[in-house]
Amino acid sequence: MKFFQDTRPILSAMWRNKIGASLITLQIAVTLAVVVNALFIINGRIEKMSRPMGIDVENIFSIQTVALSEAVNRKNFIQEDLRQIRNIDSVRDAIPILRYLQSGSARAETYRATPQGNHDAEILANINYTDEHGLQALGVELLEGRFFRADEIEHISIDFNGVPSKVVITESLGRKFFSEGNMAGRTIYYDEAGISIEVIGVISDVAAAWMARDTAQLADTKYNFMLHPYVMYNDAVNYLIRTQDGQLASTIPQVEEILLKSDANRLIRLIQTQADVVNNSFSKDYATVIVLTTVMFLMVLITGLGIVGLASFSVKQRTRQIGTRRALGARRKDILRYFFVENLLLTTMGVVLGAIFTYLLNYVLSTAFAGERLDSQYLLSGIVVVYFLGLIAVLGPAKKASAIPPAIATRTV
Amino acid sequence: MFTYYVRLAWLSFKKTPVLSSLIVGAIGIGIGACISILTVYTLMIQDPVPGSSDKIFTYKLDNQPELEEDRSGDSAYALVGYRDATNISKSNIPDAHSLHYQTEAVIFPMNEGPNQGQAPFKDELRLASSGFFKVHKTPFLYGSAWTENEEESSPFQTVLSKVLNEQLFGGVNSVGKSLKIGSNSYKIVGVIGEFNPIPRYFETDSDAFSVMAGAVIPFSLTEQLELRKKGGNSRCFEDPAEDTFQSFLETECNWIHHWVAIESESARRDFKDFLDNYALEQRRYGRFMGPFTHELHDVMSWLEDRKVVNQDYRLLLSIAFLFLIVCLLNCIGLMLAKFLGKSGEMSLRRAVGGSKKMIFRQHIVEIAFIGLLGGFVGLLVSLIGLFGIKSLYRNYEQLAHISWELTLLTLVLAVGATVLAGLLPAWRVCRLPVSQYLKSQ
Repeated sequence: MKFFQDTRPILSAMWRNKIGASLITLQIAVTLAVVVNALFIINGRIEKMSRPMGIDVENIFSIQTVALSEAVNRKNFIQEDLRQIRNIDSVRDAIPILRYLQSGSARAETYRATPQGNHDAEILANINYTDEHGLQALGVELLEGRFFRADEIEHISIDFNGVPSKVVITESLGRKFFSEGNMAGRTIYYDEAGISIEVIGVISDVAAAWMARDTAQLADTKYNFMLHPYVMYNDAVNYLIRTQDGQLASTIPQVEEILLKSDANRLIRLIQTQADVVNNSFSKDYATVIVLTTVMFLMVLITGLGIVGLASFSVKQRTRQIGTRRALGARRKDILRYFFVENLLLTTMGVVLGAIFTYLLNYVLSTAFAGERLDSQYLLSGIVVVYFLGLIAVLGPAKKASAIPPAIATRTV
Repeated sequence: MFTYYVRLAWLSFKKTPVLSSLIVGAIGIGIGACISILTVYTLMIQDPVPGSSDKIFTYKLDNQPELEEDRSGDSAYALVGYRDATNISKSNIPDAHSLHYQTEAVIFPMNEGPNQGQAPFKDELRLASSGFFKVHKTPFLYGSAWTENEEESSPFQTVLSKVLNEQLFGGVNSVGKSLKIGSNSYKIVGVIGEFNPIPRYFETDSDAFSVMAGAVIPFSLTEQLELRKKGGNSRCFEDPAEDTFQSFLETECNWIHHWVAIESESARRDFKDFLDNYALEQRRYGRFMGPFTHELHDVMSWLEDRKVVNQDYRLLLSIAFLFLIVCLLNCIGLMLAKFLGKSGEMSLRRAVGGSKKMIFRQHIVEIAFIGLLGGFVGLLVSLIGLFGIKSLYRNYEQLAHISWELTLLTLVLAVGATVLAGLLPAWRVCRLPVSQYLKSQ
């Protein structure tokens, strides 16, 4: 190939500057290894953060209200609150809940598909409460059976320990109990005693509270979500409110106002949009993505600037030689080519070494942090980045070199 | 001679400003990135109670009601049930027992003083036995804790956190005043001073790096007020038999933190035996069917067991270290170029009598000079990095601050790493063949 015709003199020039060449090769290799592994980790985290939540996240917010006086009839209090909230035009629906959904704080219980069984047969589910408005308020689809009726909703106190006779579960959870066939109407079991519970309805998947936690214990339980037909009256009550599309921000103050108007002797706190709740759950992953991206960017920058620095320096050093070559008939593009080929050779050596480093680093990281094995696609994109970086970095110095006038050879430098 | 070398270093810096700034920048960014991540990491893994971390213990009991596999790593055992906690706290082997847990309560600010008109708010509330203050050595800004006897005889007393005292009373001495928490009135007997062990080893089930806020009231009020833990973990192996609070207390539910202070090694062994006997005795009553009996942990082994460190930080730390290596490789290359650029000058110095040693020394001084500049850039970068970390994570305010030790470490590390990286270029430059370069001039 004509492009590579000066390879031999370039190689011998590199051989004379072994240390310099091997330093830059090593630097490119480590950069490649880190960039590829960082990209891999970042992509994994982004995938994790974009897991579907299964509810209408953009239009949902939750609030907590705390009664300050003892003498309130809590059942009426909650029902009156909900009636008023639901009357707001921009509110699609509202339900009383046990805990903020997907917040990481959760009530969890285990159930079985059979009356008796050992620990291995137990299936973990994230529990939340709802009244008969759950479907509309969460924005989930009913896939099978039916949802709770108003007369099935029980008002319970904090000391209540009963087990519901009917529950609604997500499709994924249902498939853990029943591998095939219709799920609505079938029975699951709770406790050593094997208390039977009827699955009256199956809804589309809703992410469990521990969605952001990727431990081995919780693997494959991400959509194990179950609703109990309970409203709990306690000093604090949590409401989940779903607004019409795009009216979340304007609805929040309206809800606050209406609640305070109906009973001023209360605290309204922890007003959180569902988007914020979800973001908070994933905040560590988000932070890792940002830190890794920053480090990766800086690393590419430093390596790029290093190449620029070394190339500029070598242009300066070889000014007279370049002038001589030009005087002997080398064209500008021959000089340009010299630097590009030199850079390509250095990058190629770096890439070969870097590929080994990349897999080594991946091996170390995946064993130390229980990560996954690297997909070779990432290595390919990393290699493209590194070649691109090298070419951009060497462009300036090479242009400068090609601009050296042949006359310079006749002068003393 | 040293000052002369420093002057030469400065001249040399000015001669190749771009190359020199690149070197300084690379060192600065590499060191800065490492230091900011290292700062957070060292605070995460640090000993929260230096000097007494091996004299404070907590334990795990296997109170599974049925024989199942060993799940000693399960977070359920990181907490103790009400029955066992109160039984074991009667042992007089430890010097003090701290039983505590966290809940929430509405606090009603008083209608007098500078902050009148403040609306009621919900805050953290801790229920703690009098030993809490002894075991964890809480300093007092004002007043003191309640005594063990008062815990039974007049339990409606409270100790405020510094944060709450600031909020309610503007930081002045509030001891002797009364405060309505929930539906009861409490006499304020003390205000805790600067007390923020990082990580908060005694409550690893909630946010271990946040600032401790709210009020503390006697543990003995649990039964009377029927208080439930809020925030943090509660794990039950079975459901209560009845819908009453008393029934809940008698259930195999783990939710209490129990820490003990034990001075001597022999007392530690005695306490271990005591726990062993306790577990065996409970087995005779038909409880404690699990495969392990108990584990005793001091503070550091507890933090390890509870995996308090954000695992991502180990990852980020190793990436930051590799980043530093790249920065240093970059520096070696650039310094080599910079020094070889002075070949003519160096050959001349050699020719007029400069020894190899002198040339080497001159360059080491120059490198150290560059390293120091890099260190200052590194400090700036690490401050920016820490600011970024603070804004990225919730509750990392306490972790992301740079100390004097770390400032010094930054500079020493920068100079040290640069000198190490510069050894090769300096060695190369003093071994140049003198005659060849002189001729080519």
